[in-house]
Amino acid sequence: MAASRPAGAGGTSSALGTASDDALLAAHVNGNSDAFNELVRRHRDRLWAVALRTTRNPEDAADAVQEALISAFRNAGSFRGQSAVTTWLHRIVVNACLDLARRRAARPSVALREEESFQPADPRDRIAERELGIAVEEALGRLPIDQRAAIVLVDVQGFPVADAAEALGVPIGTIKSRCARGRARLACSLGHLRDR
Amino acid sequence: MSTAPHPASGPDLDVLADLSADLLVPADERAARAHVEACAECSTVLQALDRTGSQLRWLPPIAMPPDVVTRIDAALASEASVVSIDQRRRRRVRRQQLLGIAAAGVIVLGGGGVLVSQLGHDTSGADVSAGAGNDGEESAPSERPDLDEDSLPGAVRGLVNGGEGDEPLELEGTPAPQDCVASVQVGGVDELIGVIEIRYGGRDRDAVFFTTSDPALARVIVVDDCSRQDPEIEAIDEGQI
Repeated sequence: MAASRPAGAGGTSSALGTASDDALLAAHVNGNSDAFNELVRRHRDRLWAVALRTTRNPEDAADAVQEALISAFRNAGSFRGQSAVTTWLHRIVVNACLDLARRRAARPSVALREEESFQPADPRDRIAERELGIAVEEALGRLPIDQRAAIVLVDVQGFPVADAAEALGVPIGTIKSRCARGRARLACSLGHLRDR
Repeated sequence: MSTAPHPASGPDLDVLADLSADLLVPADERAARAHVEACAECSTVLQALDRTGSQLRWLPPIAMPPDVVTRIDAALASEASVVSIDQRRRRRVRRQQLLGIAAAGVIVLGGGGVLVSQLGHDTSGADVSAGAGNDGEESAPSERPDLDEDSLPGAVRGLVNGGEGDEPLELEGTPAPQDCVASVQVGGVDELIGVIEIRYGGRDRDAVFFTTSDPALARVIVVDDCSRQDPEIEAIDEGQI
């Protein structure tokens, strides 16, 4: 009962470390048991940041990321390469966050504790910068979740507007509008503007 | 830049936000820009919006906490194990359909109504060869449940189907060479449930499952290669079914 490895199923950990996201996903589909783990290792912090900033609740963020990654694990074969793998992963995570938020709409979001929003903290950060960061995080938490998700992807995570639109499944103009209105609310919350 | 006061007819905050995001239609954009150039307050608003965007971009990265990393890794490992078993079952069913399951010998055992599905080593030599994992698809490492000394007993329930009421015990595994089964069967008493290819301790191995005197337990014997007449036994354990 000797086994032979199918094409794409092999690969050393060092080879996986240098493989593209597309190659890792393809290897996972072809049966490489380490490829998806490498993909997760590569993107987990960004996925976590998006989930935490969108849900505003560490438990919900963990639930959303776990649910999303298992979904991605199962449905990797349906990925058609029409977007970047990271966009695909973020879309699944953000949608899991939004679904969770809708299911738990009755429960208010909570402000992130400092150690959650600043992990790891940059020791060079000055106190004023840290305080400003906390204020921005808190203001983000007060935005409607659709605006928050758009701002987290575009402004915080640096996604191109088109990718964020694809991730959230809405037109580009909608993302721009959500970001614009969200920034206006944030500017007021942060005291940059007097009420208009 | 003008320092003129903000007129009552000036654009509101949403319009200015749209202006900063290039969302206005050309005619509205021209009108808004013309106003902003003459309005200190609106210029300040645009600067505040830009400043807000900058502050968002400079939020520090957030690392996934170690406990969440552990939780996610465990969930994915569990999922990988389930997927592996499911893949094997689906492929086994397909294979049985292709081979013609009518060729399989069905032994009806007394008492608990246990059925043992077994393809004879002698009656379908060519098929056994195919079932021995010589095709690339069937023998892919990822298709094998990845087990070790600790996880083996707990995996028994997931691998062995049936056993409730008159439902037969069965295993969607490979054909069971009689020589191999005979060599590992304990006292010739326990009945074969089936053989499945697994990863054990990081290596490709075969797991041979037997009933026991306790209907709630199955015995699993891990051998190096069940296609051999006298395989090496690497582990013997029992698990709930």
